[in-house]
Amino acid sequence: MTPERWKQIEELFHAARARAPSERAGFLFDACDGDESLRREVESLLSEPVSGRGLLDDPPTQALDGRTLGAYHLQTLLGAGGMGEVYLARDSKLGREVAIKILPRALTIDRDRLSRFEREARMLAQLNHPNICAIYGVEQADGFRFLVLERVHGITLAERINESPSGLPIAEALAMARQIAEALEVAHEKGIVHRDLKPANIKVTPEGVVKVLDFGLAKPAPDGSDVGLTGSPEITLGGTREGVILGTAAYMSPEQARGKPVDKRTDIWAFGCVFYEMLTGRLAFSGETMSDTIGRILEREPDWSAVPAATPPAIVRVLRRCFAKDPKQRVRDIGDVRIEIDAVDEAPPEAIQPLVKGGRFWPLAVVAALAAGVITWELSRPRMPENALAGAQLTRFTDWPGTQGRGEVSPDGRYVAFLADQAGEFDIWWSQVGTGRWVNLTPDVPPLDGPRTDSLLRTFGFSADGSEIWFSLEDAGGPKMIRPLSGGTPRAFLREGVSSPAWSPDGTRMVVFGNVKDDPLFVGDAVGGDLTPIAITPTDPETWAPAGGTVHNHNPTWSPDGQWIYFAHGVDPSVKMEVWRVRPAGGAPEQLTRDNVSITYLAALDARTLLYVARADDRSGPWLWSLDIESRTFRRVSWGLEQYSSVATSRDGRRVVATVGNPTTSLWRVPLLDRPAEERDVAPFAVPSARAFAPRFGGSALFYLSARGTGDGLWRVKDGQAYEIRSGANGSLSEPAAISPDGSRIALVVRQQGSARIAIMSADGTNSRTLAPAIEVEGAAGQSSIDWSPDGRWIVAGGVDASGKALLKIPVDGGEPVRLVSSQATNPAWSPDDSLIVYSTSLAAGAASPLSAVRPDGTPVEVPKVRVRPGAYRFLPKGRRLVYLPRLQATDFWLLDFVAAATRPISQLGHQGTLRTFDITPDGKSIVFDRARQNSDIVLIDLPKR
Amino acid sequence: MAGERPNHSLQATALVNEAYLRLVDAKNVAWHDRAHFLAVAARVMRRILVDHARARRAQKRGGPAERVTLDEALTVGTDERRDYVALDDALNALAAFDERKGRVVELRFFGGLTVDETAAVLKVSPDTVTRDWWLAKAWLQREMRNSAT
Repeated sequence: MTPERWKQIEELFHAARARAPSERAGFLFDACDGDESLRREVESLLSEPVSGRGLLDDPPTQALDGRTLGAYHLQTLLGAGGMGEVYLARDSKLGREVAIKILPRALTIDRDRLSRFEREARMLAQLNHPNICAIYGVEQADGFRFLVLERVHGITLAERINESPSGLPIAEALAMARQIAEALEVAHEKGIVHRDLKPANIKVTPEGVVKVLDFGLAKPAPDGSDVGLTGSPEITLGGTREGVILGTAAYMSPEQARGKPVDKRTDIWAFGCVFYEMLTGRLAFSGETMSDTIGRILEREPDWSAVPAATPPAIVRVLRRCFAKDPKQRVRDIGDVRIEIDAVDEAPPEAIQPLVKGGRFWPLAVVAALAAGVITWELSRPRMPENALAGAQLTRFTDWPGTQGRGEVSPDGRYVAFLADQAGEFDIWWSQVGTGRWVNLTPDVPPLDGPRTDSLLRTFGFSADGSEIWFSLEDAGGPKMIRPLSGGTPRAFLREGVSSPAWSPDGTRMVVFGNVKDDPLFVGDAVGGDLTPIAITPTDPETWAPAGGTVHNHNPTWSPDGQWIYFAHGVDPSVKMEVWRVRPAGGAPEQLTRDNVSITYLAALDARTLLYVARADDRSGPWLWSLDIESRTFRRVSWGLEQYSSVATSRDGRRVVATVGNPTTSLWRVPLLDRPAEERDVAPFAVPSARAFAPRFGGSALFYLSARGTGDGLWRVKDGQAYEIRSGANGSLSEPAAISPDGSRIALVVRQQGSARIAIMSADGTNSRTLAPAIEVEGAAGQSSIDWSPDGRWIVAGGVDASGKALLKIPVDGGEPVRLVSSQATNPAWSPDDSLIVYSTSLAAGAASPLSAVRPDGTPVEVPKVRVRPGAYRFLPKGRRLVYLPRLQATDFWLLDFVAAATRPISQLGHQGTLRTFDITPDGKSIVFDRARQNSDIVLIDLPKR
Repeated sequence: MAGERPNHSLQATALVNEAYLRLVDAKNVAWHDRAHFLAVAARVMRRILVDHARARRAQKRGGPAERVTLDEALTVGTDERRDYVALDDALNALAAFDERKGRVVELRFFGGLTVDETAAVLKVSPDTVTRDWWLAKAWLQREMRNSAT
């Protein structure tokens, strides 16, 4: 285009626009004076919409990730279907993950269509069924309208079918078909027709649960003119749109293809198409072009010879009835199909023996199998062959009382080593698989940290050739020894200050991380000499180290080909660690997982699969997960309620060793005696709840936290009756309540949307109000972070106010808070004689804090030097004496006498579990405490040869 | 003002965060005033969106992104999903013979600038910006449709 020509076009364009539309053609005809191409050019430009509905009139809608819409924090773009984006989002109100579908603007600017859409969405929101992806609602915020949908993990059925080009195993196909039928049945009962059922609209979760998406959204408008809510029938040409329609055409019923009204029998046809495709791996109806496809739908039968011969005849019969061209001849009710599948289920022929019905009794089956000591069990359900542990044999390797800590397996898979406390202390035991002999490798090694060992801190592992085991003598970064399995004097191993050695598959190199800031990774030779830092150069420093903060790199491990080092990386090991990888020679690290929480153990299963232990994003678990490195997809592979606390693999990936447990939490009572109390002095402290922790006495009642469904609430037992007086969904309550000395009022720290505030209420949970909303409470997780003054007029709390971190004394009935300490000072406890407030000064994860104290008027007080678990201390009612836990994994109580400036242990309990929170009974004679028991054992998971 | 929409500035703000982060790193970019900053931000935003669209195209060819099919059921014909890669191409073509109009589009669409702000950046009258914006939109729409078929 020449500048002259463009200038002409521009002038004419604006001149014509200045005229009424009816006059423009005449004006241009005259003005162009016979220059036809000029006239056409300007006319075509004038025909473009330039205000309101044009291409550039909606602002860019991408890059919403990271923003907040109403209560939803948009995280990552999950994908885009047709148009409009779907984001993974966090619902800060309900603390759950959801999917947010941003509605197209063209839909939202048309009031009629929008209100129709919203009516429909509300109706669909009532469809509540495990096999239907739930619609939580339609909402608007900041000018956006969006659908809030259940977040469904997993792959689409279309992807699942793609993985098995010749069809899914029959048992799997039946199990999924049954769930799809059930979803349709529930919807049809409510008069809702899907209208666009196809494999791409069906998701399969890692647990094998089918979720049907997009119910009823494909409903055409009553006036028939509306394209907006129509899925398939609108056929346009050009671009990707045609491809989309083509994909849908294959599942269209004959009546749909003819443009006739559709009802639930259209869904039955589509169900037949999906079922056929699952069984055969091919489309029931397909042609070169859309019209070919439609022609086949109207006239032809599917290719019945493609259906596997092993398909039960009843299933083939019912499938044929789904494909009746005339809806009147078709299966009338999807429930009939479901009944046929059930019938096959109940009388399974040989070929589908392992079929599991509906998946509902699995957890029970697992529990029963383990309880009965049954040693083999298919870890994955047969319909999930892509499960990395499919076909595995599960063997209980230990069945010992007490706790089994982490397990390790030798590279050749023949030896298993683990931590166990069966000899009283935690020792490293090993055994050769199949011999039934167990050997304590460390009977002569002093336990960690005084009288008790700590299962978390003792690290160990096999040497590269499997003939020796190394172990730490102190904490993970401290000195280490290595000792042959056959015994003998251990020798020093690895220099201090590095942790978690892992050998390359060929045994020539070792990776470790350094116990200094940012946990740098090092690669050295086979004995850990010549350690060279791995230069990690993140391409996105913000993702690697948000806000430039400190990072952790834990559990480095090699890929089976030695080309990569995988490791857990994050800012806070107790909150969020993801799997990353980097080349041993350094370079840009790659993030492999997202959205998991606190990954701990990592182990390579094969070239593309990693196993790891992590909690789910709802904080349940820890469970065992697998990561497919090629597709970056991860899935939970453990099933049932057993928690997985460690995982390790042999070099060939065929033997997996895991620590599996059934933790319990309940209340116990131990008397305060002249001698240290022993386990025989301990008695269960029964409360009428399934689970109880964080006890607090107040008045004549006992308060504790317990769960009823999701989330722990505050319960009160009085006169033998238990009531939940404050519900605490989504972890909003996690620490003991603070009860006023007269028992009339409760102060609670409520955690919501990332903030912690103090709520004050009556002892029955009524009259709740927020105290000092400007103060953000800080404190160690799960421990008291506030306390009452003996006169009941003040609450003392550690936290942050407008001037920074402080210990604050807050008047309960009005008035300004008083700063007692202007630095980090958390988890205070106020002595009953009103002489002291003790507090902790460090919240470092896993570490004990020095105990500090201040007078209630703010004067600092010297106290004996002791280290305490932050918040885990209570004053006895009389005398200036404090019962405390000395560290995180403490198994015994200690007493600090401020007058005598002396400490002594007041219990010497067995390893029956870790102590967490406790209270002194009102008479001052006993401690009531909660104790979590791991009830864990070492389990072998053996995989078949591939 | 013609073509102003209430949520435009919000979305531009949303984009600015990322754009700003990229700018902060580009230390050799010196800007003298707000207008200049907005102009630079618009350029960066354009790059972000186009890069994003290209990456997504690559993902569609078998990348790891999770597929969500939620669905063409909600598709509205007049509001087809924008193709930022094609828009970028068309915008380059326009700028080749009329650079100012290319910049008007960049500032208005990618930068979220108002007509007045755009005029200030380009040192022309608001009226010129409005006229440029109309013609550029018409031309780009036609160009993109033609190149799609």
